[in-house]
Amino acid sequence: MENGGSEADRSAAERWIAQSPEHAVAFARARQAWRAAAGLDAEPEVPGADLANRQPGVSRRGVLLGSAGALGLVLAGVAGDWFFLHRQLLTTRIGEIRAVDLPDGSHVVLNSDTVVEVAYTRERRRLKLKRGEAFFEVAHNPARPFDVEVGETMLRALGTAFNVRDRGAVVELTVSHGVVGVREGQAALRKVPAGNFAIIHPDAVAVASYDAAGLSQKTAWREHVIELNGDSLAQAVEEFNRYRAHPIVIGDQRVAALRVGGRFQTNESAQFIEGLEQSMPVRAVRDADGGVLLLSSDEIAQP
Amino acid sequence: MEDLHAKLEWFERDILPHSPVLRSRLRKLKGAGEDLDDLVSEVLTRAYANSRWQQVSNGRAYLFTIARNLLVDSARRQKVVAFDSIVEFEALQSSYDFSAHLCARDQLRKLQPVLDGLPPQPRRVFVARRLHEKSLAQIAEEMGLSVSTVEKHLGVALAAFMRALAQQEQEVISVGKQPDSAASTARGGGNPPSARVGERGQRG
Repeated sequence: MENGGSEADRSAAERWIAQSPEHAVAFARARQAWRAAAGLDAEPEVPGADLANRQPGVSRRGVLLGSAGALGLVLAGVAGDWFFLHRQLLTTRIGEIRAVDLPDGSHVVLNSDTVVEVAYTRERRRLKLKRGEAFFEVAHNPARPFDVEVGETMLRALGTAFNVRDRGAVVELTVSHGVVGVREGQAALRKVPAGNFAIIHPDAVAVASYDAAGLSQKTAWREHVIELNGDSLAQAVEEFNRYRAHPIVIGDQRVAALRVGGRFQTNESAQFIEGLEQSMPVRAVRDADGGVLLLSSDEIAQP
Repeated sequence: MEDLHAKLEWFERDILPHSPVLRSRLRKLKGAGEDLDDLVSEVLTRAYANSRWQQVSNGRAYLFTIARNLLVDSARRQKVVAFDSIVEFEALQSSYDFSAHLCARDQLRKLQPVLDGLPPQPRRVFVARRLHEKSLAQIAEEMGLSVSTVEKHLGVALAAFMRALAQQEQEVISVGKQPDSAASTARGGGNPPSARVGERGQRG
């Protein structure tokens, strides 16, 4: 978090922007360029290259910044980062679950191996789930929307507690209280009320109603709990692997389809595997690194 | 001031990403040259100048409606713009929008050569400020320059990126909707540009 511009710079820049639409467009373009450059690769440096010599005549209205004074103001606004009142990067390691209080009174809980970027402006509480899963409890303030972005998906909290999990191809949303608006790209906002579980795909949003047990299963991780309720062994293993540095691997598809139930701590995958070996036709092969291979024990039981 | 920030966010999120498509289309109608950048800037400026911006539901349809009306106006004055091109323009308002998705991915690919092509000083300053998030004062000290010189270098770099983005063009991928459906997608409220959409009935 850094404040490169003073309050005086800030209000001077705001006045300049408010003076005319041309100024505002120039500022918006400058900030767009500033933001777009975030992912650039700084290496390797190309010595002596000079773009100015290669690109001919470019002084056009609205594109470049008219005067040196205006440039200073825009830089104070764009590069000084004053438009972010609060900025913070929240992360958890594998196996870690962490609760964080945000400055507006909202709370966020991060599941294992998760990255959440917080960027609050005056008008908007903007968060990005860059990886993993998080539960958000939102302090109500309709004048300042609370938005969670996951890739192209935007979720807008409307007085709400909800859980978001980034699964790569899709985003999973579980709404505990209130309503969450879902926006995919440029599509219209779709509202998902409490008691619903939604799978959000770039082309479609599938919403299913869940009972209390179903919802609590989706958010049990906040109590460091994995709840299994007739889930396939493949699903169960996927859950435990989120908290393990070395994964459990299923080596036999017959094993993957077995249905399992039970309630475990997120760090109890060893007990889970022991339980499997005792009550199911499963054989676990442990390697030196801590990885586990699950095989069917059918051949041994019934030669 | 609250409104100013919200409006800027709206403009960057909903309007600016469509400018490559707009520029590409306008270039086909008007040809390259100084005029083209002025025209794009004029459309963007008019788009921003709308006090009822909160009612704009489809950024691209809105932007293209403004561009169309600007072309109609200039056609009335100069009698140069072929009417066909205006009709074609309307078809674009309703075609499916990929621009926002393509933008972020393509932008980085286009900006990397700009960074690599910067003169050494502006490049160093920009990398230190933007990618390593150092303060201007810190950069000035490390490079043995004054803060205002650092600011100038930063300005050179930023202007190069702005230029690259402003000159970005993108073809429209049309999914074959009819021009007639355009009217329903443009809900510009009572602002002057979109209020004139009704005139298109005259072409039938």
